[in-house]
Amino acid sequence: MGADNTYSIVEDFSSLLDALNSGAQQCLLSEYVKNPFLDDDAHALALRAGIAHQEVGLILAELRQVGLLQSAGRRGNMLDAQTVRETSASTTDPSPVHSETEALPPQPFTPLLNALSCGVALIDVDTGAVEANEVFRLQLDLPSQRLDAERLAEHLKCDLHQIACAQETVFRALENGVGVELHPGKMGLFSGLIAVMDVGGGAGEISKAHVQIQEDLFAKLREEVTHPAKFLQSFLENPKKSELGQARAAIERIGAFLSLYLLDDSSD
Amino acid sequence: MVMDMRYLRDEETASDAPETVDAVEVERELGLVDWIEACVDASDPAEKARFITQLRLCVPSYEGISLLRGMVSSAGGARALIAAQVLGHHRPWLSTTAGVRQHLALACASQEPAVMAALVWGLRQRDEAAEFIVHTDYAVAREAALATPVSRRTISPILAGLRAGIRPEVERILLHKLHQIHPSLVRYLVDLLVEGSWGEEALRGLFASLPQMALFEIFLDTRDPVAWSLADAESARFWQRLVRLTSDVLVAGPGCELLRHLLSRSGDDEAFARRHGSFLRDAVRRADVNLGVDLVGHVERLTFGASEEKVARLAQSLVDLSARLDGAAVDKVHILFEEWKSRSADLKLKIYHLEQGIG
Repeated sequence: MGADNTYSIVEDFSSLLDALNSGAQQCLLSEYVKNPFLDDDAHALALRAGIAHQEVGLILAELRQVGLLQSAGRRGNMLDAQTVRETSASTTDPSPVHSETEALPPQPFTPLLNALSCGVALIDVDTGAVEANEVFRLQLDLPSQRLDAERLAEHLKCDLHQIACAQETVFRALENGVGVELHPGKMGLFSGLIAVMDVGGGAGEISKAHVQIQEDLFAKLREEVTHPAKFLQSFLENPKKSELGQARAAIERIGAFLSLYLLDDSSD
Repeated sequence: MVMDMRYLRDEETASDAPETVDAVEVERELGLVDWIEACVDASDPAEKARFITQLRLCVPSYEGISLLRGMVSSAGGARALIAAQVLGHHRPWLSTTAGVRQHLALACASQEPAVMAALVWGLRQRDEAAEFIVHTDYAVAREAALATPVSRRTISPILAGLRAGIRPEVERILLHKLHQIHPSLVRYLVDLLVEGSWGEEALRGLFASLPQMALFEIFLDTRDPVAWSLADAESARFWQRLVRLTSDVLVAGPGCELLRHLLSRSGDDEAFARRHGSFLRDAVRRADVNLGVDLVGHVERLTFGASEEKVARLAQSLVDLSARLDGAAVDKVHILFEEWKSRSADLKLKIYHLEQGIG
């Protein structure tokens, strides 16, 4: 699709291409930059980019390895949001916060936080220091560098000082469907807020699973019903004795599919 | 039927979060249009990427599809582009004729080429995409070429595009698609060739992409030419031009399947061998060297326990082929010749003459 200057979405992602050395990689990734919803399989992608089919698999694997693409199951590949974030941060926003946060003291609770399977962060509202585990950063799309309370408050859209003073648990629901509970608490030398992720009983994962199941079913439907039906159609248009066996097999294939999903009359 | 999961999280979040404080109001869950708006407005590419992931994962309801259509036709710019791409990514509308018709109308009415291209992308693997192949905008025409399947309904617009002289990239895509056409459709395609005037280069490019076996059977190995070729003198001349062109194209780059077919038929059918002897010789002499070993093996199988006449007919092809081979393939040919020569004095003399070029 055309890269038009009026479409900022294309421009914003085009910096990703600069990170690549290979022309073939750039060529392939540029297709995803132009249309981030692209769901071509390897054959269609090869035709689209004008690259040999044998090479496409390799290039896609390389792009996935460097983290620019991620697998989207039967729907091919998609831009990796996490890498887009890191690439954009490193190329366009060398934030001065990094140098400040690097000077912060070592974080004593890191082993404990990293051992937890849910996202947890400890926020010292007085000093502004934040110690968070990887799950917490991932769920909230936070940078991998050290966090501070100001940035976290901005992300959670709340006043951490006020919550800490109120000494009450507060729940924040974020745009991506993730909830964060903020508990006032003390732990050794630490005193401040403990933020715990609540992912809504895995609703996000359930949504993804539903989509995957639906796509798998449609793919199976295409393979087991659409293709045989197409063959039958061409057979009926131009019947050949030599293809009678294949036609019978096509009908049996459709029948087997319908029977598997209890859609045939015999299940009534 | 498609389950709308956009509000799933709303319900679960509400039931799982009883401990909320009144002062902090839970925010409204974002919907399709909100995500698109947020995606466009986000200044950080990472934010955009995250919203795109959301848009990919959601399953729009029919109401959502209507909203997207409205956005495409009225929003313009990046909003319309993303809405068109989301429409193309989630395609429940494909299940109804009305849905396809609406999408087609949307594409035709779009004033922005990038949006139109995205809408055409949504028609991938649908015959309706073919009508955009000759579009004046490159992006739209390219997307249409990529989206168009090769079927009885789309062959005519594909040929019209190739005949009209489209951009090289669009032509490349269409010719690649025609390379994979089902052989049964080639005769239908040939019937349509007479509908317009063709330049030599366009026809040559087209024929070089079509399945060789089907071309050979239609133009070179038939005593029953297509009906239109008998209509008048002009048509007959055009038919002869196509026959000549087919011969040139096939001889210039014969594929393995065609060569195997020619060798098999020449071995089995003396009349066929006589009729196509010169064509077979030319084709074998231009065959890809990499096919040599495969073809020698094929001839070996064909001559296993075969009559002397059949062996003699195939020996000529093997002599032509061996002139272009080297290494193990040549050794194999020589072993084969020696084996054949040992069958009879007559065969030995014939092969000797062929090897000396006096056959």
